[in-house]
Amino acid sequence: MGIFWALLGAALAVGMAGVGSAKGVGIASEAAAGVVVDDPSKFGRLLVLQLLPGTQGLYGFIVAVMVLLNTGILGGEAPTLTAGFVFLAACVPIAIGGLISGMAQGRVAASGVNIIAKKPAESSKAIVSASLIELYALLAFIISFLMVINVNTVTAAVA
Amino acid sequence: MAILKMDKAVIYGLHANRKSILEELHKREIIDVSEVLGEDFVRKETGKSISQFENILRLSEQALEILGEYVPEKSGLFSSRKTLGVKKYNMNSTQSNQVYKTARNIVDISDKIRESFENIRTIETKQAALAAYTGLDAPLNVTGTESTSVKAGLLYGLWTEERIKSLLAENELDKVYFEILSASKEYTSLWFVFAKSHEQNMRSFLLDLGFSEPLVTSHHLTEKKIKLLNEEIKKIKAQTEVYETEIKELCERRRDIELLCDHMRLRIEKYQVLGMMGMTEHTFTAQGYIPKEYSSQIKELLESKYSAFVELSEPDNPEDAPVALRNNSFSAPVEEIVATYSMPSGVDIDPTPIVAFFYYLFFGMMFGDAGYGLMVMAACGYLGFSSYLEKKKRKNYQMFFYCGVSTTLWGLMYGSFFGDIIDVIPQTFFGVEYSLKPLLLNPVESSLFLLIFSVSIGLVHVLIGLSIKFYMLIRQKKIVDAVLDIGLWGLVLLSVAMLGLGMGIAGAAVPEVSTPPLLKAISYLGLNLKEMGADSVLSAIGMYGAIIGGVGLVITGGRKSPSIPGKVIGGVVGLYDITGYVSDSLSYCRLMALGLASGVIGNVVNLLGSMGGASVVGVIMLLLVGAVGHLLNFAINMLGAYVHTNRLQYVEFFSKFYEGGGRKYTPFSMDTKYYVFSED
Repeated sequence: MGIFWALLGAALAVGMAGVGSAKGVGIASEAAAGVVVDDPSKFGRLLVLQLLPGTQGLYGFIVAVMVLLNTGILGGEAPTLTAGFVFLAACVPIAIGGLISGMAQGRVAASGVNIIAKKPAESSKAIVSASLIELYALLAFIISFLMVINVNTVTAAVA
Repeated sequence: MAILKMDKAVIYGLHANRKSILEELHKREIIDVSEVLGEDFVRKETGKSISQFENILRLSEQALEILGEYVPEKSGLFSSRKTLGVKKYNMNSTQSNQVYKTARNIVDISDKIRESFENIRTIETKQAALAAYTGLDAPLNVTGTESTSVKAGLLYGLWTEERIKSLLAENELDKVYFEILSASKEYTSLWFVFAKSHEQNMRSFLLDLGFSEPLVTSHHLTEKKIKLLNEEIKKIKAQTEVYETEIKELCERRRDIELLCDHMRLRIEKYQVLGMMGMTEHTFTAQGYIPKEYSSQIKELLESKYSAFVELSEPDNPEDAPVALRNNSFSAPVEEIVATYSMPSGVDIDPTPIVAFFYYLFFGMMFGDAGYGLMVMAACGYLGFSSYLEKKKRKNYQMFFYCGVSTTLWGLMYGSFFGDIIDVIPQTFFGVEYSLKPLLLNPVESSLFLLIFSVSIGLVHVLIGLSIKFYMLIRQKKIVDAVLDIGLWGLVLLSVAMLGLGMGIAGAAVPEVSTPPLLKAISYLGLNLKEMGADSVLSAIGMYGAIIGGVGLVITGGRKSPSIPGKVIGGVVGLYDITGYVSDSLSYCRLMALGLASGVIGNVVNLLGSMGGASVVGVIMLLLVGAVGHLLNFAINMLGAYVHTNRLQYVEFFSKFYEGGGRKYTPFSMDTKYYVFSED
């Protein structure tokens, strides 16, 4: 049964963070498309804003991969029930943090698109504003990551 | 390494030399012109000429755009301006008039082509309207004979003869003959012949049915008319083709039109400067800022060659002078990063060298892969240092080149070269265990250490920011503020750092055999320090330092408040700033997270690519998956590294000291689009 919970954790990490990123990139790209219609030359600058909310999905992906590696699923092993639950818990930060921060970052990026449309010279300010949210995704990622890579030692010690 | 010193220059000259002086300054691209103020001067009205030039420029650009539509020009991603000798660029007015006429001609022809297309569309609509009446063997404009009337037209929807007959009978219209010409679901076309006596009744009858008369009439038979219209279309199309070949032939003049555009741009620039000059009857006065190192040279040149008089002086108010930065070739590429945030103001120092060092460091740590770093170095090294691009456009690539160097170094530190490809290939294809050993640490295995390491670098960065602020305040003679506001915080942060270092040394242990060399060295250094008892000393210093600093902040933080309660509250509230410093330092954990991300994703790409095993298919698969996957990882992580490096500089570092708001030095220069003009 442990394998089910561990895989559920990995699935949530990559799935929910991915949804957050997909939504965020979606919101930003919709806004950017409106600007590109008028001025295709701004595409390069806008691309940065469009891609910024995409990182949450990557963090979720990394955590999921680390779960797969640490559970030994790729090597044909299965974790114990306890370890499975712990892996699930370890995935929660990036799942929730990635989901919500991705969407929030998408909205900021979309307003940043507005800045680039009206004042292209200030584009770095738009980018920095969007990157402020990134910190919370990063914190969630780091915590998830540290938890996942230490599950094995901790559960071994408990057992 | 600093902000360039500027001289204010006032140039007095005779009108006779005005043009040549203006051109000389234009070519030198050295003076940042400002407006001459004063009631003794008359100003030359230049607005009209400028708007005239702008119209010519707009039209010429439009002509170029049209040419581009008909004969697209190959232009690379990094197309450079062409070089042109100064003799050729000096267009006289006949030449420029002639080129302008060509441009005008191109725009006119393209208007005509557009008109032709519109005409064709109108004719086609007509034909579509006529098509319903092709069965009618009389022209549409026939209205009847002496005693009869004829009416052709449309009814919407499908109508049958019986239905119309019965309707006619109902309305007692007996002397009516009609024929259905065509019938479809959308409409039925038909024609009526009726006695003139029915005219009135017939009209209201048809109105009730919703009968509509033809939109187009003709004295030809409908079929013939359609044919005639076809011929007309053919004629117009032939004419359009002639127009198109004309335009294509005019493409030869593209270079001339480009030259005209640049010529106009230069004239606009010159007239704008002219408009800022002050004039008297025989003389003119221009004013501007010139970097000190060039000012006397310019003065000499203008005075000897053009018998002008140049007065050089220190800027009346340093705040007014424009700001230019000057740095060595290592940090100069980062000037643009500083300028994008804001140019330094009078009280600032030029932070570029420090920004440059940390910019390269952070970028490298976050990108952290030797393979990717080499790719960046190769591409940006070529673009940044070869003569492929113009000098002004190279800077950005130079910056990324240095970033690439740092990325490569950190890739070696982390033991990452296109992820773990160096481990994967021997293992998959030859069954040999080999691995690229990291110099410093493996980010996945020692992630916690890397996290602490990243935050420590962040703490150093923040402390440097505070030191600059400290220095700036001292320079402004605000010694009390410097010590109490900045110095005390510096003391607190430094003490916290010492506490952390002490704890780290206390926790030092004998490293395992497999530990990478640099990390091992750090561990042994820690052990040695521990033996010397450095941990307790550092902890003690850190603790007392933090207490002294904290107490100092509480006592002095509210000193500017007028009331005693205000002073007390101000001090305590001021201590709350610690949250800001904590979150700033934590923010540097992105150095670890992004560095980890590029490595892990690279490893996953390799893992997926090597699933084909040791076979021909496996090799192809690794190549394909590897190429696509690494390119994707490269793009997204380079973007991440770039964005977050900027953020750390702007948000965490600049907020500590940077005032900004200086005016950028923008010399009167030849800002052309197509050509670079050289002296010979």
